[in-house]
Amino acid sequence: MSLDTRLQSVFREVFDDNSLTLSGDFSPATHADWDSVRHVELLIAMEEEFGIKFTTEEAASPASAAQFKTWLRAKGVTD
Amino acid sequence: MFDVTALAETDLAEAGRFLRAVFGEVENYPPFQPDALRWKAFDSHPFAVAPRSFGVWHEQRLIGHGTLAPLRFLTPAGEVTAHCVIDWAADPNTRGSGVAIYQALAKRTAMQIGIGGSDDTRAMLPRMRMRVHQTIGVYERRDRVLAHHLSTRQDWKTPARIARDVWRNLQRPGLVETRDLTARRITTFSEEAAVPMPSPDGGVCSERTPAFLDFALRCPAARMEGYVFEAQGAPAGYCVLSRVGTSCRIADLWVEPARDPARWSQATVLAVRLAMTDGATASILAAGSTAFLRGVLESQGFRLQSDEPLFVRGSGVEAGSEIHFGFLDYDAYYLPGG
Repeated sequence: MSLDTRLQSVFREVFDDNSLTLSGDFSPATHADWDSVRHVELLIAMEEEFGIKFTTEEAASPASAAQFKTWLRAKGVTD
Repeated sequence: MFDVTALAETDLAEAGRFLRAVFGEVENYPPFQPDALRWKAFDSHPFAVAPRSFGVWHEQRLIGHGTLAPLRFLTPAGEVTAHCVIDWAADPNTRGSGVAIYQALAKRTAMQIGIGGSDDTRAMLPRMRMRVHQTIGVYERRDRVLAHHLSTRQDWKTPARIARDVWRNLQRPGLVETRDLTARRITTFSEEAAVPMPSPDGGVCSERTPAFLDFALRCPAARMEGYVFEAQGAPAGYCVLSRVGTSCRIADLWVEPARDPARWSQATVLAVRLAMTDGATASILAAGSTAFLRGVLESQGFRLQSDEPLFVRGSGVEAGSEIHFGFLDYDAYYLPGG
């Protein structure tokens, strides 16, 4: 499964929306229901799915789907 | 992810700065002064070791904060460890640090509770798997009406409010006699012999011990007073009063027989009289967490000011069971206002 597909599947689970299509600009600014609770749920779900750990620096930074992809690649997650 | 760590005493200045900034409080706000923060986090508490304050740091600054106020519930099935998160704050520019603290603290006891809170908090807690178990009624008696209104913000409606409150006071029933119940001021509950403490009596109640009450008496953010009630020369219960500005709170009260409305009315009236011995006290606040307590307070002239939701997460207390708890279980006994 590609990184994009796995990332989308995490977002679908956390946002409880099976029709969600992930684009790079998907962010709290474009989706009001990406609040603090969702943000932490996303971080936890991604740590579990990809077997990685986010730093406080990353967790506290402004996030978007594209940013998550960049962090995952930097942590060695590949397609 | 967010690294939630216990605060050290040397972190309290930063904690005070952060809390004042998030809550928009003034420099000398008593609950965020170093002595109050130190008491909450480091003072000896019978239900939890220190430190009890936690934070998330980013670039040497706090971006999230929460303090664990330890509790225990006594249920028919046994004791349940719990805590209430107080001084919960997150940097508005960082998403999720406050949620991370709540979730990290949730692992420390069987149950986690939240009481009242801002509109944002009330909207957020159900999203963190917390459910409203019941409400706690915050009741008030305004015995010195003019002093009360002079101590709060005044506007063109103030004269009408004063007239309304005077009229209400004239309408309310007289207080019951307290002849067979007396109160004795004490400095510490730990040195008193056999003072009756709350028992579940088939329901659920928040546990009190002399050491728990002594922790509350050491609160630096309010003027605290402890009393033992006596009937026929023997201890019959106790009350804890906290004074903040012109408001006095019946922070905690217990008397036996536990289900006797007449005895509880007497104890409540005694607490009211003790509260009013201070000439600066204008109003008295009390908590009604059960139908029994609400009935007692209403029968003695207290008016319901607000109903605060009790959010719970975890297991140990059955849904639908009424919990007897009060101001000492969170921070309502020393926060300004009311």
